[in-house]
Amino acid sequence: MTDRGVSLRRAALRRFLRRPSNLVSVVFLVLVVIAALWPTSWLPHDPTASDLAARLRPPAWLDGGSWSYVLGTDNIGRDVFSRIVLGSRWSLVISGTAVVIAAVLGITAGVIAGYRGGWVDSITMRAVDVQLAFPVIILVIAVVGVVGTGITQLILVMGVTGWAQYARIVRGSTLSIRNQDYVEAAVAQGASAWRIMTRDILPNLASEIIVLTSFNMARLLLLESGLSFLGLGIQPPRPSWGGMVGDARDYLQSGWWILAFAGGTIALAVLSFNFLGDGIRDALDPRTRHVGTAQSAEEAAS
Amino acid sequence: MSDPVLSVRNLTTHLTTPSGRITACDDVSFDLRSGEVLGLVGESGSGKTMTALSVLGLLPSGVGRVARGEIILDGTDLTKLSRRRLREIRGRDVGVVFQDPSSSLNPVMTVGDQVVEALAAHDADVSNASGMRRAVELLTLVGIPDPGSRVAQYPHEYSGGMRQRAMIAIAIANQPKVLIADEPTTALDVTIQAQVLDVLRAARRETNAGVILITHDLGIVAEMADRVAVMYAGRIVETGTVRDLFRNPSHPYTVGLLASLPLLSDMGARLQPIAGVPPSGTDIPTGCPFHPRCPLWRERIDCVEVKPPLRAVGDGHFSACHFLEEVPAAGLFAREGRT
Repeated sequence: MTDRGVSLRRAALRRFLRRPSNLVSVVFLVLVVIAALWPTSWLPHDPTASDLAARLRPPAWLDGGSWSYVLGTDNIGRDVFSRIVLGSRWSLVISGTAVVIAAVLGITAGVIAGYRGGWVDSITMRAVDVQLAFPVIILVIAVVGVVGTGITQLILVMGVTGWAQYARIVRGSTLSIRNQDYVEAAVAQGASAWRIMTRDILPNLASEIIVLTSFNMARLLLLESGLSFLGLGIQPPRPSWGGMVGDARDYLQSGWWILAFAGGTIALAVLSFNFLGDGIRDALDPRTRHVGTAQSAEEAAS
Repeated sequence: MSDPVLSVRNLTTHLTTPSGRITACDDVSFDLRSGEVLGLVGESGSGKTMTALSVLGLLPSGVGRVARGEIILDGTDLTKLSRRRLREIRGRDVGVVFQDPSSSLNPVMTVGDQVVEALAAHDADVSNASGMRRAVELLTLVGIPDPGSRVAQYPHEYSGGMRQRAMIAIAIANQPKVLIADEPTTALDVTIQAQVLDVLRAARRETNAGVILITHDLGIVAEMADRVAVMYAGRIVETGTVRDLFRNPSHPYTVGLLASLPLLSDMGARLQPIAGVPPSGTDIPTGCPFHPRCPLWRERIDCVEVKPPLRAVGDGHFSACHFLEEVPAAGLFAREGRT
């Protein structure tokens, strides 16, 4: 009988792997994560070392390229490939930490609002509206203006402002779970509100939270790249994908590949996280297949 | 007779709905002793479940309210307790078994964990190991085969009957003094019903709890209960021992309920339904709420104007009918001849 639990999981995994886009996304993200975590000593060049003799080398397969610089070099002769690999570290660490902060804050607020209802719910949801209406970029500019740039500020601002997406969706699901008989049964057994929220409601939100986290990784990765592009995020000499795109703007004519590879990496990573979220959701709940997919992808990208 | 473990006195519960105020329980009084099974019977909407929810302090918040009366559990009036104290009592002193076992268990927690949860809610000292040992004991008690491995399974791996057994195990986990079973067999197959009733009996024996058995099935009442209270439109219209009530029903409504039951001894006889429909919450007739459907009414003014109080018919047998003396001889709801 226990096999049924296992086979349900296996069926979900099979559904997930059946779609090629899921498979490609997972492979790409695994590569990115490995690149981010692996020590950088294997890289062909020091990502921050400039070599003015090797400025603006094209990628290896083009005229004038060499296999020493697979993806070419930038305007001061730094290896584009090495910079993209090291850039993944900062991009992932920052968006990942921010997502965790956003998730903790948002899930807490959402579960409490949904379970308590009444004025607690009203106030929380109005705060969510305000947060969603307020452009995060402006907030970051304000914070950076006051305390200066820095990774800690960046993580905190992105994490703290990211709570609203979680809170809104978690609150909605909590509302429906709260009315389930087993929650009423738990109340009748004398369980405290805290116990019900942590033991009965939260575990039932797990699949939803996994999906939300994937979409939010995409969203915050894009936000972080945007901020670094504007010079408000990760500061040189630390390489970042957004920063590389920013630097490359001036060399579109002479070195298009810098922008193409850095921008392409951002696009692929964001797309992969979105596909992953979609794929997990569809695999976990076969009934909602393809319903609302376009809308949520849009939401995540905005 | 021992003192009652639960004593409900003049309980009146109001529900505030968009269409007006509903009196869900109207002056309900009953006693429950340890080890006794009290059947609470009535049609849908007669106030059975609302009585139980009032006892548990679980009336829908913002809608339901105990307007009057006392609910005395072991000397404490539950209507006067703070929410926190009430929560301590729920699940510890009063256990509940709900109607639908398939939705009353948390789908993402193993059954064993849920039993441990019920224990831990009232005893912070319960460790996982000791809780699990107790869970296995409880599952054994309610007759779940191979409880040692079943504790680690999820509700979806249980059959409907086993889920209800698990619910009973959870309800008696803390040795409650009162066990409320709200239509415990309604959602189950007929073949499983008898087994679950056996488990309820075993649970009562184990805990010596007083059991309130809410049901619309008079057959289950006859089989399980020691005493019965018949509810109609939020009021108890007749109460007594099962024997008194079935042998000597003294309220026209009870007579009608019994006449609508098929009898093996009277196969082929046409069942007698009670004409009309039960009153809806906002539109309860004045006086005796049953009078528009009552064959004994015969346009008498008392039935329309005066709420009949419960009067003694015999020892511990009460009926709320102005003309209860007429009931036995009236031949109400007589079954027509065989077809």
